Amino acid sequence: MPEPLLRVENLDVAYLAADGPVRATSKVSFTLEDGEILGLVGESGSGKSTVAKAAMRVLGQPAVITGGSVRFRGREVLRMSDAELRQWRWRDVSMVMQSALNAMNPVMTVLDHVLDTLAAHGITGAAAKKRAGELLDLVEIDRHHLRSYPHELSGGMRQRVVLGIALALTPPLVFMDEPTTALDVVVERQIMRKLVALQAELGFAVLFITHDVSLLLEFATRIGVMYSGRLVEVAPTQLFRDGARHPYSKGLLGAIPRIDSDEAPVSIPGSPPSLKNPPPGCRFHPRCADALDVCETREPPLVQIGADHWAACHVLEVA
Amino acid sequence: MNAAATPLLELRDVSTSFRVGGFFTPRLLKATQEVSFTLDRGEIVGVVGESGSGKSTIARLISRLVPTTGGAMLLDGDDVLVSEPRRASLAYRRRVQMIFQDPFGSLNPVHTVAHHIERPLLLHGKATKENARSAALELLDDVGLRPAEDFIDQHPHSLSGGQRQRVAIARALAPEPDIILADEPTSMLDVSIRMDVLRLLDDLRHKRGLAILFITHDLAAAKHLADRIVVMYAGRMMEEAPADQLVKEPAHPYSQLLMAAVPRRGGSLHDPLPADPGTPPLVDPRPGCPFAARCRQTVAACTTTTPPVIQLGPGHRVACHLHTARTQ
Repeated sequence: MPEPLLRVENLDVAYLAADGPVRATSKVSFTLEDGEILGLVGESGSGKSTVAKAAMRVLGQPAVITGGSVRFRGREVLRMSDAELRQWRWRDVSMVMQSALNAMNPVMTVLDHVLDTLAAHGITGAAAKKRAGELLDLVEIDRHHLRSYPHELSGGMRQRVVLGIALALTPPLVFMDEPTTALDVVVERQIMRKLVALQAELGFAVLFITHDVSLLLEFATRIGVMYSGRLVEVAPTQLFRDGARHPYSKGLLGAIPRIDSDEAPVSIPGSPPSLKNPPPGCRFHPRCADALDVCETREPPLVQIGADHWAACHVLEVA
Repeated sequence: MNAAATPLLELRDVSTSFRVGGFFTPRLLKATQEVSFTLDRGEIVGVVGESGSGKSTIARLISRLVPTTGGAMLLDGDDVLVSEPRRASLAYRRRVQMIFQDPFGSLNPVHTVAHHIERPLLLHGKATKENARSAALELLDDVGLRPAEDFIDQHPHSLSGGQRQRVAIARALAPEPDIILADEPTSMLDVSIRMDVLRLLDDLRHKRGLAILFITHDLAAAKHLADRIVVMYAGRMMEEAPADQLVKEPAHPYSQLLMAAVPRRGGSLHDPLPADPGTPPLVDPRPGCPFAARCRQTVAACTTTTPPVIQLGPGHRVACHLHTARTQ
């Protein structure tokens, strides 16, 4: 069987705090195939961003990867040297962050940003300048903005530029961490349409991280739900929309006010647990209406519950 | 004057502008222009729009944190801009309270929950030093922080985001206000608990007859919570309608664009948007409708004259030449 584009297995990340390590993610496993869009959804502190940063090896102190494996086309990312990482990043995998304003250097023009990226991978001179123009065309920003500084662009335009830079070396995989969260709905929709069109045209795979499950439902191939550092359910989008099984996934879908439904949304009781003192057993059990005795003591593993459908829940195992 | 017909709060053509630009190139940013609507007891009015639309400025104008440059603001029929021209009286500030977006920034980290709630109680004479604590406990219970004894001596950092926002709501309730201005009260909270906080606001307006101005960029939340929705663009009111009607039959092309941009189950990112991309002009706006540059349904008047606000039906008002022409 050929190796998938990305295989994350039992990924553990801990934050080394003064009063002991805090486990930010625990035994996170998933795969991503070429050309696929996997959406990772979760609330703050669920570990969704940590997974992406760990997989790209850009975690900052005090976070450390304490276990597991990340393989890109079969190659172990966690054992790459710094030099290998520098070549691997951007040529094979790039990243778009939430705040384009922070991702860009305020004293560099758009052109400087693109040239800098290309130069790191040996593309310089006229070829680099030509590519810079092509990239702006790609994300539909007028070429005269090559001379613009980040502050001269609107939030939506900056995010397009960052998307263009991410695609500079046409990598097969792009990580996107809440790329549209800071934007207004109309601008968000325009960027997402552009992204989906580019993805269809160029065929790169996307790991898309967001707290907005409604957005994912409109474009992701598969959806993974994270809760308190664990992946609790993974399913193809349509299956997830119509038949999410994990009580947290169901609660999340029901908690979001919908413009196209008069049904009153219902919050999940309680609030997400702190990572410092997580509840024993299933971390969702204090908020779960279906919890069994076993949920309080034993952590449910992520198991297959249907074709391409995975969930970590004792209730589903029993059923 | 007929008391029943006088709205609790009425804004009439309220405008404000901010000075921006350099010392030698001063320009006026027209943050709100000629905004008019009413807010009544027991009613929730949603104000929606994108960043820069002026929706937060409206809350700041009503709370009188920023001065107006024109118009009238009537509380129980009395124009407070005339009776209290320089700054709002203590009595006005008691009646109009605000809840902010960020419950991490709006509470003082060095003070306990008790301090945050007892202070307005004492300041507005709603409690004495002797009974302030018991009054604060009661308020905490009212906002769902139960048992209140467990919360009253906590510091903000030991509370979750949702709990903090409840403390901010209890603080706003302490002076027994008539109006609560809620500026994006849930946008910093976790998705799974947002509805609880909105439901609390809904309960409070029923139980206490509060009037709530709910400012949000989340149209779906506005649809579920608000009775009426006001749509703002570039500092101007584009449309006002009962919430359901606005969502189902938006009359203004900008409202139509906003609705089309909200994710729907079964919707797709391939669905086209009914307007062109762009950002609203705020500084030195051109004559005509501010949305004209993006609108695909423009008529000649759109680029020359500002469309007047006209009545389309009961409670439904719109500022759009397409409708001006039709109703004439």
